[in-house]
Amino acid sequence: MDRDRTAPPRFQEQVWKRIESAEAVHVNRGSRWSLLTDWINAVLPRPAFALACAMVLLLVGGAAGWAQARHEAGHVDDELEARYLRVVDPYQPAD
Amino acid sequence: MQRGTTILGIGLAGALLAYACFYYVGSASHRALLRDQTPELAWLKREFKLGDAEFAEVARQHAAYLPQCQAMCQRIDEQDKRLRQPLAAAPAVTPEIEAAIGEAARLRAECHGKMLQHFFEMSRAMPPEQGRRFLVWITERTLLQPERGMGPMGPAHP
Repeated sequence: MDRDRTAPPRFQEQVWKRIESAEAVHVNRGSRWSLLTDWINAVLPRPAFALACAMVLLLVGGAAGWAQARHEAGHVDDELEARYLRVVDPYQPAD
Repeated sequence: MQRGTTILGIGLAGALLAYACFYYVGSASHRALLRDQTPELAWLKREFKLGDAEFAEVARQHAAYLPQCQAMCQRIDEQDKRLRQPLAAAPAVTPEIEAAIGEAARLRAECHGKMLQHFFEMSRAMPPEQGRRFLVWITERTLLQPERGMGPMGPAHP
């Protein structure tokens, strides 16, 4: 009976280690986000950096919008070309 | 929210706005094409760089050709039906099937002849360089398509 109640060797030490490692993971996750926001709040208010970031974001947004428009325009061209061919050629496949 | 993240938020909103503006401008000409009553002709006008007078003539010829083309489509459909009926019942090639195949081939040749005549008329209504380009483009996509058996054969063509 006494033997059953006895904890395994270094039981307490292992429990504390687990608690510490679990807390460390939690703290790390929190600190990554706060590190990022701290960095943004420290760097972005500088006018030169803010301007550079704004230019990059505008360029990326504009380029993506233009690329998407050209991509869709290509599809419209293909569709209209196929439509013209179907109108003038009875042997043109339906699709 | 702190100043840096506010600036970042404004930057991202600006990027979205830039995306929307460039998309709107970049797709404007094609949206206009799709709003046209005959978008395929509007596409033809843009693709072959036709002026207004040239396009008016092309559109006139197109409108004149359409009834002929539709009548031809009807004849082709009727001929297909005439070929399907004996094909479904006959165990071998009968004189009726041979006659229907011959008539289908004759109809196809007649249709191709009328199409080609229309394509030449269309090309003559265009500026010379664009007319030549139109003829090459349209014949490659209609009469000279390999699967129709009139163009270069697959295995014999390197």
